[in-house]
Amino acid sequence: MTKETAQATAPTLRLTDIRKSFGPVHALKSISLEINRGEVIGLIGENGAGKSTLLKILTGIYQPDAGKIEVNGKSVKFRGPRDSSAAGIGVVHQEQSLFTNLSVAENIAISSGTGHRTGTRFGFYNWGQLNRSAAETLNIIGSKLNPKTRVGDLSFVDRQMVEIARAIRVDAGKDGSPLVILDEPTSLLERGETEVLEREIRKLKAFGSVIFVSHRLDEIIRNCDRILVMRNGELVADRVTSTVTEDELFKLMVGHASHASKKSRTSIDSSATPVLEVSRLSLKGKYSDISIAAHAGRITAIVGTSGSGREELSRAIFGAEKFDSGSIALNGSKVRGWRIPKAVSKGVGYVPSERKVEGMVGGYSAAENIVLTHPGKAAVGPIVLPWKRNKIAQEWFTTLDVRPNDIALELDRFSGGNQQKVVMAKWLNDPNLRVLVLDHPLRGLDPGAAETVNEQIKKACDKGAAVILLADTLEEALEMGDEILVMRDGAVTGHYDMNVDNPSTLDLLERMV
Amino acid sequence: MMTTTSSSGTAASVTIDTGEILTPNSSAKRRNIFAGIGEPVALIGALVVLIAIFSALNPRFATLTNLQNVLNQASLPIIIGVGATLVILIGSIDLSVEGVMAASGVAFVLMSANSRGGQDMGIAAFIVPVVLGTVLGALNGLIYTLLKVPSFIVTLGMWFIGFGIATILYGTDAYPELTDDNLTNWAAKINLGLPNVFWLAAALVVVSALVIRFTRFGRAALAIGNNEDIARANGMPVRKHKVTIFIIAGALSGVAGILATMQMGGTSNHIGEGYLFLTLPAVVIGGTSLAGGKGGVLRTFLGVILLTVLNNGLVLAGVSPNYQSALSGAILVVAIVAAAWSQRGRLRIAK
Amino acid sequence: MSLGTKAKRFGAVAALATAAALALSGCTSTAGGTTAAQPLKKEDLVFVCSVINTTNPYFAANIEGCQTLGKKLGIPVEVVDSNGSSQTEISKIQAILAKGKKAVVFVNTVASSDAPTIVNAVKAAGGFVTIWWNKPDNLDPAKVGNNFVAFQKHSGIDSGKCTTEALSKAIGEKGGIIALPGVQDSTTSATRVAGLKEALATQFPNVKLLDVRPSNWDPQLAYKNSKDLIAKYGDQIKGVWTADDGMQIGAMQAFKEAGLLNKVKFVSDGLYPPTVDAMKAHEGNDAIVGETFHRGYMASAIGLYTAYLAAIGKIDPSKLPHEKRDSMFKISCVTPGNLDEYLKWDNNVAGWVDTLIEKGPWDTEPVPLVAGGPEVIKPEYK
Repeated sequence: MTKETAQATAPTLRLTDIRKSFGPVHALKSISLEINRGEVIGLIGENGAGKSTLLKILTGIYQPDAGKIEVNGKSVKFRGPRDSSAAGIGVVHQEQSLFTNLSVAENIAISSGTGHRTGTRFGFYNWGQLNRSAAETLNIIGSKLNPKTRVGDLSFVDRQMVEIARAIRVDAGKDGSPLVILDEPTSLLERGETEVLEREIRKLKAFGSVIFVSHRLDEIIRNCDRILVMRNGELVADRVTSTVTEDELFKLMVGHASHASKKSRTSIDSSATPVLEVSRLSLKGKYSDISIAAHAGRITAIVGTSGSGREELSRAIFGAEKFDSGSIALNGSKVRGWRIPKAVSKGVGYVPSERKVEGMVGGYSAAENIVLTHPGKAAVGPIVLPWKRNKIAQEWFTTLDVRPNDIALELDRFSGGNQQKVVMAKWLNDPNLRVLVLDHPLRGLDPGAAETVNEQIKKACDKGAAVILLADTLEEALEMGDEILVMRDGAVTGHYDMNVDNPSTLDLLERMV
Repeated sequence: MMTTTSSSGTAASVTIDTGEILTPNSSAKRRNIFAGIGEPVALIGALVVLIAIFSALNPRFATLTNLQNVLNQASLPIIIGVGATLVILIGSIDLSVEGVMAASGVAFVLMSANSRGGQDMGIAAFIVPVVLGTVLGALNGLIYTLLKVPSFIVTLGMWFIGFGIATILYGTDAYPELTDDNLTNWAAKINLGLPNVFWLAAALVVVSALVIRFTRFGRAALAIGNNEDIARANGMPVRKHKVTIFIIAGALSGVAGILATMQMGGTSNHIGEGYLFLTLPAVVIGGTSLAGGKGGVLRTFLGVILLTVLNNGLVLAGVSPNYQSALSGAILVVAIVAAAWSQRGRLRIAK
Repeated sequence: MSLGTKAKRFGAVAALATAAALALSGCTSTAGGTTAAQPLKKEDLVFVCSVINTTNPYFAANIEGCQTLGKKLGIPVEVVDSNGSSQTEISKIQAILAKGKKAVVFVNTVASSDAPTIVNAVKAAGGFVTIWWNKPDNLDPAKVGNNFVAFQKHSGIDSGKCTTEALSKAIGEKGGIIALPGVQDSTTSATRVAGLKEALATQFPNVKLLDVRPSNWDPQLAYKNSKDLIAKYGDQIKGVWTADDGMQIGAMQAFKEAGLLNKVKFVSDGLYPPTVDAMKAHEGNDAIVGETFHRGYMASAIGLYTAYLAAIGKIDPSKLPHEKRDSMFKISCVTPGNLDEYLKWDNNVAGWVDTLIEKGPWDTEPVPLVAGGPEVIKPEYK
């Protein structure tokens, strides 16, 4: 695996005084850094800190205005993604960038140059060679995926494996060592899947270097040798992992200390009727015999691996999926013909994990999105009054600190965190909000945005809503939940009232898997 | 808290490795088999059922003569369908087919020995119309990619431009007929049991199927149809590929214009009429997705054959023309629903 | 004229009622008689010649007729190419009307439903119009007034009878034939098919109509339908009847490919140039045995000349008998034997137009006025 060459001593990547501006905006102000062979570098920073711009320069999508890039000691210029991958830089994108209609092998080979080894010579495919070469690459990262499988048929974590294989393939077999950029690879993964990915990172260290971008500071600390912090287009800190704590990193990123308040636990008023009562709900093959009593002002966190049935259950509560038997009751009265329109009219809100697909109308302005389902005071009958709508939207923008502060901008053009704030506002705008179902509300959010969203969840509780939370991490569930339900294979395997019990993550994990 | 997490993480990874990761894998394999073959099987099934019914209704349906007849009729839509499929695979659409056919058809007849007199330009009579189609196709592609006008609009405009060129070339003289019987008889002439024009269409289908399967260009077309942004981020020459595909489609429309003219023994600027709205449904029925990225020319081949058999069979079965269009429409809807049935699960948003 | 159907009587009553109403409400203008009192001057006129497209030989001949007449009378001609679209047709005509000259208009309408719009536009602009071939039954020139000078056509039933007789005789008055009509809801096609069915029923009981497949005036659809019918009936088909020569081209190509051209006889309507060539060349052992004779240049020249006469005050449409406002002109039957007699007209269009100017629109050979409209299809031949 180790190839001794003259360049072995040179850093895998050296950036000197890299600058990039977009019009008047200085996205990058003189970035200089070095990454050595075998190093795993954590790169953190809030949305807009310049991380994406830096990554796009490394992958050849943007060209720097000034500065020098050296790979394995050689000065390089990337005119496009192909140059970058030819130099040995591969990237695993945050939003997966695979062609779902093509096979695993093709996806691995697709950005490669032409040649016998890759199975594409003179513009023709040699499928046998292509598949063998992909299998070799997959073998390096210890994946047993069939190269002929269509990527669209793979699970999320398997797709991530394909992305990693593609990222390392760029240089496998050549001199020097590949640099793999993992751009928030874990943001869409379930906990168990994250473990697999982290093992991969450790393997990659053996023959290349890694830049690991994540919003989850615990992951960064767990996996990285060194951590680079960006703020406002500058590199503000370069720390060896063993010398920093999560709190310190947060402060470096945001510029101030975390002021997240510890959640005060709400106890159950046992005489009160639960806002939401789910009784013996079952859906064949997904979950069976689930009962939940969610009270006003309390957060019920449901934890479980993918396949535990918690997603389907949460969608059933919102009326987005049917169930076979059992019942759902709101404020003590059973509901019939439970479909989304009815759920919405009864004050049930839902923040989906697939925000872009189900949660928002990207082509509409942020203001329109906010009043989409519950126009409230913005509407007189069926007519929405633009000036009132804008006033309401502006209030939410201020409360939630949505950036950029432009309610007329199309929602597609906001960053993920800010989109999520708008999606939250859409439901919070319902004065009669009774139940709020949150499916991975913090997915892909930077710590600052996550803090804001969590504050709003607590506010919804204060106003008397019952919250069902499918958290990203067990820590999140433990921190936010007043009550925790553990699910495995469609059944409830654990139930904790956080006023009474004090389970550890290990307790939860034992019941999950 | 940190220590708890990492230790539990390691402990958990072993269990999850087998349960979580392998399960989706095996189910993926199973789905893959059906995903690949499901629709063509449904399509071939529908075709077999139609053939069985029509054979029972009229014994003359299942004869060599009628097979030759059906394949002869299907050939032009197949040739146009190859181009249309490529264009649809990249998520675009080419509506200019009939206009390009008209322009090339009129150019062809006027450059060949014809009843209006004029010179017989021999091989140039074939080359110039195809070049004309190529140029119109290139214009489609360039305007579409450079000016970022939707292909729907650009090609609609090119339809009229092609038609206009045909009208100007045609002038006001008498209907020009080809005077060389070798030309007029070529298309339907039987060779090795099947009409020449069908062999040509079949060869084009095979070549383009191989191109889609075995060349970087073909795979890139699928990739572009699946996600153009990712294709660009991977350094694919998206614009070049798109223009190339529109050029191929234009050239094939040009070839179709020549063949249609040869079949009719002459032409007017209306020679292409009806072909577009025969071909597009056939492409879709074949299972090529209008969203791009999914499908292929073999499917289109089956789609065209299905439609042609349907219309031929209804005539042979003696269905009254008053009911024919309604009946063929109804049968089509049933066929499409049946073929798409295996797909309906995928309409749900994947996690 | 002997057809005293209910509909017709109702139409007559309605016409009377409308005429009475007009007389009551606007007696001054009726009495003033726009045309009789103030005939338009020749220098103020423009001929408008509106055709469905310019590539079909029949429509091309329409234009030739307009231009020849325009040259004889010294009046400029504007050609409207509708390109098969009613919208194009109407908007182009309106644009010409807006230019200010008084328009004398011949329209070969794209669709029947275009006629009222065009008639009203011409009337409002003070022009004069003759419509050929297609109009709605309830649009009566007599009711509209003098500006809608006439509606003219050839009898479709006569056309169908003429070709069917030729075809039946050529195949020995027995055996199977197939028919390829035009667009199914076209009056022109329907009347020709009615003539076909009437001739078979009354004169040729042993000729069997095997199949009728509407082919939308489209040579390629006719080609496809012929191929399918050849597959279905094989050599049972002794004769092919098509509603126009374009479809005949497609049908003949199909039979040629099947090697049957020498054994099957063809008839059609129109005697297009390719048909003439085929007949002269005795193609397929004299495959074409019957055609009707009527000419595009004759139709347009008659139409324009009628409207012109009204415009300059030579005729007062309101005083014309019914058959001169809603007219059917003669159709002749051409066989390979008498082909040459008819081709002489085509070689001397200008001479024919001279005769037209000399004899007037209703008495010029070979297309004199033979009857008044509307043409009614007997229900049994629908």
